[in-house]
Amino acid sequence: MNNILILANHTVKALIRKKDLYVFLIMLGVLIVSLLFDNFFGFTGISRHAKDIGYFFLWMFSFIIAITFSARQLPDEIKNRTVLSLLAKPITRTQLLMGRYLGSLYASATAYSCFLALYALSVYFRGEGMNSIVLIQAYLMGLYFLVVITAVTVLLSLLLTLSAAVTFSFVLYFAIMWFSEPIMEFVIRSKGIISTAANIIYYILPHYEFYDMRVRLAHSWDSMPMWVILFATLYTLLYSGCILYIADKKLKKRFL
Amino acid sequence: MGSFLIAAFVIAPQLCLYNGMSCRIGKFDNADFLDVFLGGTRDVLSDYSLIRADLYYHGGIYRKHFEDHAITEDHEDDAEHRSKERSSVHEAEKREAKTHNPLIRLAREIRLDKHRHLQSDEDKEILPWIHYATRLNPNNIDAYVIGGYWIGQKMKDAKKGLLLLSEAAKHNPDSWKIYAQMGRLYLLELKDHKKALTNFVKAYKLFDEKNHDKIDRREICLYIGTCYENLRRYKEALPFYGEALSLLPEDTGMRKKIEYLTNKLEK
Repeated sequence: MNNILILANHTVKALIRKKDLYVFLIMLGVLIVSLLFDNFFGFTGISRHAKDIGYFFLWMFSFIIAITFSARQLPDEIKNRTVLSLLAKPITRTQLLMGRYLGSLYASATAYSCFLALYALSVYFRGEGMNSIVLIQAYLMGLYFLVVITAVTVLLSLLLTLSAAVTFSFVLYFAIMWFSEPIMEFVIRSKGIISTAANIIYYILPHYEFYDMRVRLAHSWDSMPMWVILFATLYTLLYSGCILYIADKKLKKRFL
Repeated sequence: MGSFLIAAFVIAPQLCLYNGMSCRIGKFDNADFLDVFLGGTRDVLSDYSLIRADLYYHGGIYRKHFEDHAITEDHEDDAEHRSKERSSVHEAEKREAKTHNPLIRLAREIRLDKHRHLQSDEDKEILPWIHYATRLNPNNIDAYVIGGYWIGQKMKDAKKGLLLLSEAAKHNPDSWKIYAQMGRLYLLELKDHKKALTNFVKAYKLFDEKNHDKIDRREICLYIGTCYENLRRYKEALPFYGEALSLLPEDTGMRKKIEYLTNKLEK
């Protein structure tokens, strides 16, 4: 466990060293403040669009950090041959994978927390209300999203080249977000063997759409019941666990 | 993604607003900044902004969703609308209840399955999207008319509504819809029958064979008739009421009104 944490810490330091986080933070701050203080036809106190667009951007920035960090970790180690010196020490391949995964997750979660804190502070400072429970749930669901997307990207980085893994992660995300509803409709309406196949595919696909709470947050909807959050937690742990297990098998079989 | 595109161009419309829709950027001297920056995309984004405005009115739920699954919480909606939605909800629920896939059940719980309309104190929330729609495409007449209605009639600030519609008329001097909406604001909100009449007459004159239908024409005729009647110019009101009746001959109320005014004039 100690080895895993050392590797994870190293990845977080990379986030602090690089300028991505700061650039995104400044961009987000400027965007939210400009949206909140905008004047539309002389009316003030308009906040939903700022909450909506602001949350969308903090989500996208965290998502970009998660993908670019997690996709780079293992291919860079393998390409630079630093993985050999790491594995020469008493570190197993599973520990290496988990260390890099947790590091990417920790880095993206740190960035996400900073973005959300800035978002919430800006909105509250402007005097616009937000349902605190929904905000906490949105934070939690955002973290779960990062858990899944990081795991998927780590797996893809072992199956594809770096650029292909990053591209595929983006395409997969947008495809799921845009077509989740028609896919679900298809699964429900299909019959017989097609239904079985559709259900299997539905289980395999990462359901990023579960975690997006932008509409609830921006349009002041009620919070979700506790059991839904628990179910989502269970799904996140199971899904990312399975993905990491496959990634571990793949890394163990890989000739370095 | 749409939000991303819109937000990416938040600054551009602002720049153009403050610089009178014309900016100097490098070699694009005095060119329309938005045309240079966005090209034809601005029309698409403008229409998208209008869709977002509708979305905000329905609590962030897309129309395609609530046609299939939603139950409205708005008690003012007509019974037919609600019963149709409820029957489609039952069908969707039946289909979804049959599935044993726990992920679908989770998706159903997470998904928002009711739409609700903005309350009176929340009406202003759609204004940013009207603003973007009109800034991105000053020829988006529907955006201006909806904005004029929303600000002037729904939010009861007729002066600001008229300000927006005046700007619309500058960009689209041939649009009868804009003058008609200005007329409505003068007549229904400000009770200024003279100005209302001027605008309705302008709208009427802008009608051609293609840009309107019978219902539009009848509505404007009725408004012009009403304005003349309120100004006690009954003789001038009669031809417009007559035209309105010719467009809908089964309107017995209108027939009685014409008879009443004719008798009044004869006396």
